[in-house]
Amino acid sequence: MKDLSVTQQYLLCVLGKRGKFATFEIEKMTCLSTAGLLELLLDGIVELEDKKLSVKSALPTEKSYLSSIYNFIVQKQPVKFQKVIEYYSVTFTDTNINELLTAVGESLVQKGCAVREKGGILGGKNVYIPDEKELDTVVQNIRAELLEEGELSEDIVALTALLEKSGDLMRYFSAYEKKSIRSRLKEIKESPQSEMIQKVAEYIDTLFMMFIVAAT
Amino acid sequence: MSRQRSMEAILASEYVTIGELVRLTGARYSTLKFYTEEGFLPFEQAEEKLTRRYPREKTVERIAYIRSLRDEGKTIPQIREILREDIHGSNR
Repeated sequence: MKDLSVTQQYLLCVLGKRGKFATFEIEKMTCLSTAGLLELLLDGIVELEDKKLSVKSALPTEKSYLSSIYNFIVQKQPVKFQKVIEYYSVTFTDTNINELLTAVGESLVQKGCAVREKGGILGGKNVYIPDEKELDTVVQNIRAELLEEGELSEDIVALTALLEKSGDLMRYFSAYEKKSIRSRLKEIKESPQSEMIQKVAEYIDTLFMMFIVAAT
Repeated sequence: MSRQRSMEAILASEYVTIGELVRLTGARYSTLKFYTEEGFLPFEQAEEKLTRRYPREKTVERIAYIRSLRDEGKTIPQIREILREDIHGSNR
């Protein structure tokens, strides 16, 4: 398996066989932006203080697919969550979210994890068909961490929470497994040792809520 | 709670988790879980409920070996027997 970030893994998991998702699938769009923002936070590239985001360090070249989020924060910092959220959701066009989707999609193509094809209603839009083997490895990796005893990584918890939020967890896990995954996540969330994971869950919940509020 | 390790870090590590074995070998989690339960893949575990740690090189070799046996058409009971003989013989 290639090294894939949370955002790249999330997109790979939600694209589906046709390599795209519809613009009305707001949960997926919301979670893609959330994944990007979360990745910047987890990597310490962006920091969060008093509910405002600011840049802490330069965006590494290998994360250039997150440059649209990063550049927006650079220009507006310190910037409220709300502003970043509005940039991706409260607009008359889907230009901003498409820019992010294309950038992450292209990064998957460069890594050999997806193939770019022409798709959409008129066939004029780029779609990113996931490589089945790479997708399966991502899913198996989630299973290996969540269905096993022992420590979980922040990346897997974040990815699982995002897949759950956008309703995509069911696609890869049976109802029985999903039940045990939920109880495992709850158990971890409640553990006093998992301060970081509580922070991650809080980020996701807050970001997601803000996206929903902004989009409605 | 820690971050997921990069492939570079995993490849430099003496011990790996089952998730990292998935990433290293492309094997399915359920397969590795089954092999572990069958005793095909030895591991270390400090305490129950803690993460199982597999010796990287030896385990990756063992998985490749099991795959080659499967490709030859060997059944699981036959593989179990072969591995048992190997352990007693050359300690593969």
